Amino acid sequence: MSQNLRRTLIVAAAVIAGVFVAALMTSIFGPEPEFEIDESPPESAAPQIYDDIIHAPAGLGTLRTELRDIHGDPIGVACSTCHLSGNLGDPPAKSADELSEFHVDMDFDHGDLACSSCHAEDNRNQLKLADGTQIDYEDSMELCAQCHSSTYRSYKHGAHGGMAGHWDDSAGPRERNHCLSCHYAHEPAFPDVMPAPPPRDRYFEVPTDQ
Amino acid sequence: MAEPSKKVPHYLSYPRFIWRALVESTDGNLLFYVWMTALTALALVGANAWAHQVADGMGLTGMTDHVSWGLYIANFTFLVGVAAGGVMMVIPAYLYDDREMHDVVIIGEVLAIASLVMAMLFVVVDLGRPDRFWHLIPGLGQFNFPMSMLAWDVIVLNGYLLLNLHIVGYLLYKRYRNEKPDRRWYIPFVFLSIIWAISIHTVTAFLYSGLGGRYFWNTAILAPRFIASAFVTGPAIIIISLQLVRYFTKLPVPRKPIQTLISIIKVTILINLFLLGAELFTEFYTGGSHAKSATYLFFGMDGYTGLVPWIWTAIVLNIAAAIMILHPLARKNFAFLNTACILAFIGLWIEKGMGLIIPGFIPTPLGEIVEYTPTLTEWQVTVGIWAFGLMIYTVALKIAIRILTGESNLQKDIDASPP
Amino acid sequence: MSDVDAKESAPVPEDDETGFTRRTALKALGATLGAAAFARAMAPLRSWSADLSMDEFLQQHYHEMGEEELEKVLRRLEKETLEDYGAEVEIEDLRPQEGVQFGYALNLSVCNGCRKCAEACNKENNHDRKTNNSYIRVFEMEQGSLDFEKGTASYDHTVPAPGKYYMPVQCLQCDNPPCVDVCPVEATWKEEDGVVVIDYNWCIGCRYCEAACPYHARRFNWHKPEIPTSEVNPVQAYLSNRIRPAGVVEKCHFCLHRTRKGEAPACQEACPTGARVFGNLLDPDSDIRWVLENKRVYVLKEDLGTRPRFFYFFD
Repeated sequence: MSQNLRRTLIVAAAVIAGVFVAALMTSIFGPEPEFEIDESPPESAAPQIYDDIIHAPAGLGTLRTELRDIHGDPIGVACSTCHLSGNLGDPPAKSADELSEFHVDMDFDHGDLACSSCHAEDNRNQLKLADGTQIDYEDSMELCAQCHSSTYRSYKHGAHGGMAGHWDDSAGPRERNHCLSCHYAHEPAFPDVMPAPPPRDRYFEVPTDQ
Repeated sequence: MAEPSKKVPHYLSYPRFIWRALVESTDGNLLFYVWMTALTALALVGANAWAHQVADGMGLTGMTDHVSWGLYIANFTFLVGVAAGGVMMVIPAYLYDDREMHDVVIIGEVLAIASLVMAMLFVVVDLGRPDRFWHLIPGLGQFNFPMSMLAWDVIVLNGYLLLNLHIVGYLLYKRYRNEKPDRRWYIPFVFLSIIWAISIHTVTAFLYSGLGGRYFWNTAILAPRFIASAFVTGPAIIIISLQLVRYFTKLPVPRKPIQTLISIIKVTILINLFLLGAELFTEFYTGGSHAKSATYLFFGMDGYTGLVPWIWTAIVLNIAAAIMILHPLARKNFAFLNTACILAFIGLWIEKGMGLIIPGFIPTPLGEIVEYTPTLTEWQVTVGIWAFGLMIYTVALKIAIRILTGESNLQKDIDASPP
Repeated sequence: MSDVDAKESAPVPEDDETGFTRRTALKALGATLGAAAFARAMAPLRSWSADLSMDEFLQQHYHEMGEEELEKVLRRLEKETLEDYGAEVEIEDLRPQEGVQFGYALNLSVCNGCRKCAEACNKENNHDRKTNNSYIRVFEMEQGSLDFEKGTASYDHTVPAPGKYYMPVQCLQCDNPPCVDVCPVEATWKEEDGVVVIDYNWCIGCRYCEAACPYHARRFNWHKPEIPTSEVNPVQAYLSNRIRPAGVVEKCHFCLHRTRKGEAPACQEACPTGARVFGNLLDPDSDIRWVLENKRVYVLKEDLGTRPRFFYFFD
């Protein structure tokens, strides 16, 4: 009798254990919640699509002076202020090293470029593309893109240059930087900076007891 | 006196049983009062420390976002093992019909109850929001079952507690009424409790071994290691308890159960060392990121050596305990045996606590090394819970033994104060 | 046997009458003293429970609350913020948008380790100022190695340092999040748009999720966060940047109080190098999709099967 009872009990216990294991397995190997990947663009077509806003730095195409306007912004001098008549600086210097009188305090570290690689010789208020087309300083990104095409492509797709504002162009505009917001054309390397302070994790403090 | 208690209905005898338990738990000789007062004082210190911890925040502990579990969870893990280890008396008593073990098996069950209460308290004090404990109650809160291993743990621990409370309570009540217990009312639960004992420690091991991001824990051998070590610590405590019971009470404690428990430890302590060795071989022979925590634990890393003394102490204690318990002297000399048991107990407490839970967090998954040292608050709470657990163990044993020896029973209570 | 026992210690009067009462009196005294000592020991809880309102104690899980109930909770939380921090804030309940699945990518070639993202996170998300907490941890890594062991998060010198690159780590919003699996009370879950969130009023603070996360993405509030009134960001949402109570876990939520309104997350706006790309994975014209399709991206610890939504790439 007791032998039988014991046998029954062991079987019963095994069944219970089995049920637990089965429950666990189902929950682990059961269907995982999948997200429906809808390849079509969101249907709720927004009434308005905002365009990107590109923040070009102030004073492009001017030479900075040490003066500031009433808002505290630096006052720049247009290039043509000096470069109107042909006798100043002509023929144009090939590189920054050749400059002896003007712009001598300019740091230049941008490959083997000559001044005229980017500056239009006959109109100092304009830049020029490789094919000779003259462009405004505000459009200088096009000029940068001639050499830095892959970076420019990344920039176009938000993978370079940062952004603020809205990721969703139906909710608001994206605000983008200009190349020159971060890279000074004559010395484009991003400057070294001091980082924000590190975390002061709890393990740095001595826990106080009561 | 032909079974007079038979006539007493349960609704009258059960309150008397509870009352008797209350009286027994507050009555005793001077030594009992001194012992209980000391434990109460320690428990109160712990309660006070915990109250401060709740009021001021868990920042009073030495834990960090890097080492987010510490002394509390280490103790929890160890105590679940002790609770499971109690079953090592139940298996010989019921599965192998060991008559003499049968007479003292209740000590193992009472040990399980006391350690479960302690284990649960260690979880409670580890909670950042103890006021939201009710979120864990199935039905009232949101219970992430069966996905969360912690949800499983809540179920198995409470289940095991109820099982043991039922078995112990039923047998004692029957004895109190001077009746023969009905096998149908406890044998199924006893067998269930045997499986359950294994399951509580397995689930507790799964709690850690299921985490893929913690290489040190993420090993299939963790559950077997837990079980093996539990079957060392449980019997070790019981061996000492049996001698104390023999010394302090009238309960006849035969020698054979102790010999049986020694035989059990002889095997389990070696299995535990073997499993530890297997784990360490895999870690150190393979090397790489999986071995980082073990390297930190055993040898230190980048100048951080906080756990090195702990683990080597544990290794030395465990090996010494193994050698002692295997020595023939352990069967003859109780002092020698007890030393071995205490060494094994401390060794495994370190191995499963400071040597297993803490290094799982060091270095962090992002390779940072932040060391952990328990604060005074944590030690106070820990000691407090152990004191409280010992109170439960003492009181429960006292009630059980007084009833088992027949020093307390229903008839005497009725005679003393007739209804 | 039982008969013998019964006879042996049959009704022995427990001492004489006076002894019995003395013992009872002593017991009563002991119990009183014990209770008083216990009350004294637990006294620190009084100030704590005074701060805890019944409404807060009984508050239901985020998913269980009806609209009205949730509305009441939001107003109560605003009131509590005013009382505790002196700041007028607005706490919204923002739900995931239809047809949006968030994704994030980070260009390791341009990240210069300036920690502006971590700083912005600290301010935006009302982090504790004392610990300078942030959901983002920036690691200075050894050039030529992806091993975090060789990296450090506590660097404090001009960046970028020679021979180093920088790796910000925050919650990767895994599609198979181990942290969600382990939570015993379902206090953390994955939303429809892919963000893993926490109900800070449901979390019990067991920190199992912290142990489960392979990316150290979760933080625990070891103390009540300290934030000066003037610095509290008043634009808040229930599941994101509202000030967290002590004793609960928190984590990056992709700034859902901004992103669910179409705005960029704070860390992206703060990034001066443009290393961060955020957007809707379901929109084929989005920046994030272009990056995933045109750059060689990878995820952290892919072998763990967590399926992160946060990608890293080099130019």
